[in-house]
Amino acid sequence: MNPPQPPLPYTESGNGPQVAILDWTPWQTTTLADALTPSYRVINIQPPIPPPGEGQDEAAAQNTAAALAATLETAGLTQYALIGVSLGADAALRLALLRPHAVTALILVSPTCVAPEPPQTPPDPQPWQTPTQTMLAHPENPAHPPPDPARAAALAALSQQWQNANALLPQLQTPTLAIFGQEDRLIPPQAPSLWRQQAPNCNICFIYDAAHAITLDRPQALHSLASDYLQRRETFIVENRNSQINP
Amino acid sequence: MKASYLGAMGYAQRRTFPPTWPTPPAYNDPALSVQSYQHGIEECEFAEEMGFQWISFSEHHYSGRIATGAPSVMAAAVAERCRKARIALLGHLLPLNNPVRAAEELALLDNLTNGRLIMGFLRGTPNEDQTYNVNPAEGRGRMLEGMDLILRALTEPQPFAWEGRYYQFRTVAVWPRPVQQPLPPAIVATRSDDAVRYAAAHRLGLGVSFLPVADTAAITNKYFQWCQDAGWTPQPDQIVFRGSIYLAETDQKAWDWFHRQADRARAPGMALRNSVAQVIQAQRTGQTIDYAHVFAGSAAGDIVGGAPDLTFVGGPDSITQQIKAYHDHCGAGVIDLFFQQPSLNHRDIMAEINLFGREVLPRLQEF
Repeated sequence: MNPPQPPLPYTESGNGPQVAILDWTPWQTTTLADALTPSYRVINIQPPIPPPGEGQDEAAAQNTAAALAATLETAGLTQYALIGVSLGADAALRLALLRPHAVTALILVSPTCVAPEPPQTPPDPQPWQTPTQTMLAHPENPAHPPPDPARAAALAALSQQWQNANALLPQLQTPTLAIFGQEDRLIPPQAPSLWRQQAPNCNICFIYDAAHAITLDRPQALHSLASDYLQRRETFIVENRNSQINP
Repeated sequence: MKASYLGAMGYAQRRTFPPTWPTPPAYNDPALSVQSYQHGIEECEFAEEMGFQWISFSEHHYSGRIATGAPSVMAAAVAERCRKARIALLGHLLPLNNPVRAAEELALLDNLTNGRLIMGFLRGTPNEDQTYNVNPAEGRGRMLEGMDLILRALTEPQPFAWEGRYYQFRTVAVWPRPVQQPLPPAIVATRSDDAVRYAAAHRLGLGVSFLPVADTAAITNKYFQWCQDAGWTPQPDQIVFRGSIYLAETDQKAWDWFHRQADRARAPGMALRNSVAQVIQAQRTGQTIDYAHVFAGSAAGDIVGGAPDLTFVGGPDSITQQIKAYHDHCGAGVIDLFFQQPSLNHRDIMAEINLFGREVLPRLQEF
């Protein structure tokens, strides 16, 4: 049995249905949380990333999920939607499996933990070390904030360990939306279809003109999509906007 | 070098059209229209018989000059009569079309032809934007996104949603899959740097239309460079040049015909009002529009534009050399030819195809 986990640091904003966000990218943006705050109570967790060499394996991933669960329970969340971004999606997947009755919906943005088997190439830490060049569709955009180098280095180390979670997907009963940048160069091209095929309640979506860092490349598109899914779950596929020109 | 016959399916009496676009439907006599399409299909069959390796179709609207507003329908009909040639849909006007529908049509055509499809993407001429009320300022963006979506739709093995700038779909699952895997050959028909870059980056072919050799070479040279930068070299079949042609037995006969056409000035059914052309161009290039000025200058109904001058004119020797220049200087491996000049009838076209097949096509295959 795992020992009790200390609460992880988090920020809280807004009122309404509860949403937890785990954004593990080299950019600590709050745009997604900010966009959801008017309609939701948002818990934004920025967990400390384990230093290299401290057991970054599946057991460590499970421990992290347990720590996240404990933190959200401490914050008073009993049922909540969960959004995981990049490596944060890997943690979110494990948390959804650990607390299937608490996590009512799962939105995974650029999840990195599923890949074709056997692995076609070994995990490459380089993209994490130069995220501006490798994770953005438009690195020339001056509006993008610079990545945090220390965070990027820690994520590079983490990315080496938390790899294939394919075997977990059939267990995932939570309604799930997996979102991918159309130009993502980190995620294997076969990964989206693996999610759709193996996770029983999973929809997949491609965001045009976005690479791995969708939160920076197409934030409004991501917010719009995530909001729609949070509101309507798997029925988000049904068009509900009025298209009359002159009613 | 390969030859492609553009199945324009022109209306028989296209020479009588008024100068401006669109051509009023009142000019279309249904009986003559049916006959025109039958003649057009016969021309495609005969072109295949004479050795053309591709039969192509192009989306154009609201005119009987190139009367294939629904090119997939036309391609499907011809594909049942032409059983050997590649069927080249060059192509869908992406800013006008639902890309998912276009992907479905392409996949179905590849099945109906058992893998003979070549697909093409283009933005369209300025008048085309008016067909389905597309803002000319959005044409380029719609085309670039449309290409991404079509390629995704034709290759993604599981249902997916798409969150674009211009297109949003929550369920895409194109059926059937293309016969040619992973994709049928694709051509991006363009003169614009961003679309040329797209073709190079995605390892797609390039199509250029109706430009002189030097201008075409300027585009293809950039394409070759950007392909090299992307780590690949295009094959000859991936460089397509489309031109209009008039071929006669001798240079003298061809030029005599051409000079007689000069009296008719521009080809009918293609011109836009000056005011409309100005506004389209301004919106396409992001310029500010002074509507008061534009409208004040167009009250008399000025017309501009029209069909481009003929690309190839002459007897067999001259035509061969003219086409060879596109091969030698532009790297073109396929020449897509528009034979249906407005004053020509079905019999004229068949004679030209015959002459081209006998005297020109065998020589094209030598380079």
